[in-house]
Amino acid sequence: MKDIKEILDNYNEQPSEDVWSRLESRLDAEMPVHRTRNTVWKWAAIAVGVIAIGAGVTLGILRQSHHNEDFAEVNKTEQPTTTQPQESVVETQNATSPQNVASSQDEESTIVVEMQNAASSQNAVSLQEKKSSTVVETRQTPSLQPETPAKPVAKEAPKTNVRQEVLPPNSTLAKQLAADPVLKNLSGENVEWTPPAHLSIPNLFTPNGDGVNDLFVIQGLESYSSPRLVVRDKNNRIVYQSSNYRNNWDGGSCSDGVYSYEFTFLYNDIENQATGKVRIIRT
Amino acid sequence: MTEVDFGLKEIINGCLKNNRLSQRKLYDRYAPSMFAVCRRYANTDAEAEDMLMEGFMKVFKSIDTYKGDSTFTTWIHSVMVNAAISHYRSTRRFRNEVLGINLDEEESINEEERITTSIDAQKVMELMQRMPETLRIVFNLRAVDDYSFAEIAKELGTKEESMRVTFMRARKWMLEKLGEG
Repeated sequence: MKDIKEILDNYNEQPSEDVWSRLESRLDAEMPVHRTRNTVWKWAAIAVGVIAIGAGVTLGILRQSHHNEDFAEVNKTEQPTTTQPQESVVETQNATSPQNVASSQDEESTIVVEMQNAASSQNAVSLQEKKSSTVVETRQTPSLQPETPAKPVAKEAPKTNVRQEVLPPNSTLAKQLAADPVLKNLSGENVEWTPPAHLSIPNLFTPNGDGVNDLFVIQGLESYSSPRLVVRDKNNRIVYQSSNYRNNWDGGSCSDGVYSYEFTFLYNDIENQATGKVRIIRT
Repeated sequence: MTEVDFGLKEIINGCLKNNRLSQRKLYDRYAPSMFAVCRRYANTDAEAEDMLMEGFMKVFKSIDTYKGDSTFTTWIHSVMVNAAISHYRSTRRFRNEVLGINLDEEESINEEERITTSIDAQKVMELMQRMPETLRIVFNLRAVDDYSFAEIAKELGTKEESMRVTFMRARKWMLEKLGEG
């Protein structure tokens, strides 16, 4: 009874809406998401890394301070406006030999050097502030760490697009636009197949005449036949369509904003469609 | 070999990490086709939904066993069919009327018989749900999911020969019902 199989081949049916929520409850019961020991170790490792970077930065500044040591001392004596704590720092520096200062009073010498190198007005800059500025410096490097987990998100999001020169990859706008184009054949079944070339559809282009991303270019277009493109605005009105798209749409007279596209094409005589959103920015 | 999967790889990676959002995305992609599979094996839509949930729990729990040697669709399909078989085995009542078949019975079904009336998937699914349970599982495994009689017998814990006979009876039932129009 081969016919039965063929008849049912593309048959799909939506289950009722509540099935996912029931499934999710079961998942929470049987496969709960929790902070595993591995996660704690991960954060511990990051903390250690931060401290290591902080130490490295401080050492780097100190190495610089070696050269500026003598210079700093000379300048200090010529500026009576410096506050008391600073002078005491200077005095202790004078007491010991320049070479040894770096090893014994690391942070304070760093502060002194910084004030000299700042070259701006030296008035009433309290030690406290400067201290905090060094702390801020080391704190800035930790921001590198959290970005690493963010990077996979940025990579994940634009699944078929590699061109986001205008928008920073982790901006909320980019995330909003990084709609995952869904590939379905026209029976509505999600399709998995191996095409001869990579298909990459941008989620942003900038038709402003600068020669960069001025057209809506679908990479891999030439590998498929009957490429049809329909673009609609947010009110679902068609703003562009082509039954034989040639990567030549320049946005026409569309204003800046988000549009949705349907790209239909033939591969191995099967019609497929990729849908998604694209933003036009001219400024 | 360049594979354009429009995010499937990322979704699978997310599921490997038990990420709810990825699991939701996987469900959204495959629920329609998998629900169709379950409906073929179940008595009612409610039972089909239970099978669907069972099947997806199995998918999420064993997603690390997907090695990429077949397409993901094939893999998830086989997990779902296994879930249907398990469901059948666990809800099995004392089914005497089919297992106690008379092996001497001669089923004069023409193997080449084709369905002449024009029918659509909806009709077939409808009839599928009405088919007696013991006929239905054998019919589906054989005619739609391409199991051999030996495999079916192994799954259901019966003899291969009785599976052949059951299948004949299922075909006969289906053809009769389709002929009724």
